[in-house]
Amino acid sequence: MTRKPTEGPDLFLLANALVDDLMALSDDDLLREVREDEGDPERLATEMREQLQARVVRENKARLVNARSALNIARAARAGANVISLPLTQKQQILSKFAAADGRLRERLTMAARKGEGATEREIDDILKDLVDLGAIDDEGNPH
Amino acid sequence: MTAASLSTDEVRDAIAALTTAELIRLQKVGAIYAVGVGVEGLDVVNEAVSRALDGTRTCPRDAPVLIFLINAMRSMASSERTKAKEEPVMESMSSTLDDGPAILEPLAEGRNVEDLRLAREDAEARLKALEEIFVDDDDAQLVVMGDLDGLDADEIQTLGGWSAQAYATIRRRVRRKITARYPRGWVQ
Repeated sequence: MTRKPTEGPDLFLLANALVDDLMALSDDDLLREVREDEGDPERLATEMREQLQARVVRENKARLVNARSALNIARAARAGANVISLPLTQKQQILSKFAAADGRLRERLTMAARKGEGATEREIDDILKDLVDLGAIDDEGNPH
Repeated sequence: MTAASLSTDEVRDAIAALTTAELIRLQKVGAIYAVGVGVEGLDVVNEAVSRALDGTRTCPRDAPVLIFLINAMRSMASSERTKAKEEPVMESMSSTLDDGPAILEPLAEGRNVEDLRLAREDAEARLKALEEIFVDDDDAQLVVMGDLDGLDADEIQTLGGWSAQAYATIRRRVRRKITARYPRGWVQ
């Protein structure tokens, strides 16, 4: 879908002309103008410097928040990555040990079995990730 | 981030090292573009700084950070101007009857007609306010009109029949009066 620009007086073009004129001034002429029109140039510059510093601090904080968020996501993605890469038989052994002592886990595995499928590898991986998240096993599948 | 561009830390350091005159230029340019857009000057400056620091825009290593920030503000103002000048294009033209009147269906997405109407009214109010500054200054009025219509300096100078020096004086008067009237941009 296209849109067409309308014609007419253009404030942007006026602004450009004003900016060009401002930038053509020497520093000395600029500071002289400020003294004539607004007072102390240092006061104006200090005010601007403080505003910029505040903005830089704010942007820095936002960057750190984003970085921390990205790190947390990466950590979550990595959690359990080692244990689910173990051979299926080894993963089944880890679960069997836990199922013997954990009624809820045993029930979860039994329900999967009742569906006639047994526990699929994906189901096993999900359970192992849960156990890692809960701190029940480490990333290698060893009980804590 | 390539080696041809400043890193975020380098941009931060360059901003911290701006001189008194550069800081004043930055403030004034922000205020000028802000009047064109209809916002406060500091908002324009802050947005340019944010885009530099968050990597939205990268500062070439060989460009002074002041020029880079001014170009960023110019680009933002240009983008706002393009949006303000857009008008809704009809989604389709159809007719319920073979020889009946065409039915124009407005766009379903983007700015609606009401938004655009308000944006235009706001721009017209700013334009009128600027023109009123020079109600008793015919020379300045001519320069402002020429700028608004996109004439270049030579064309405006010829139109007014001024010498280069006389034109420069009028041009400077126009800028100083506008920045004196709106030192912090379009603050209502």
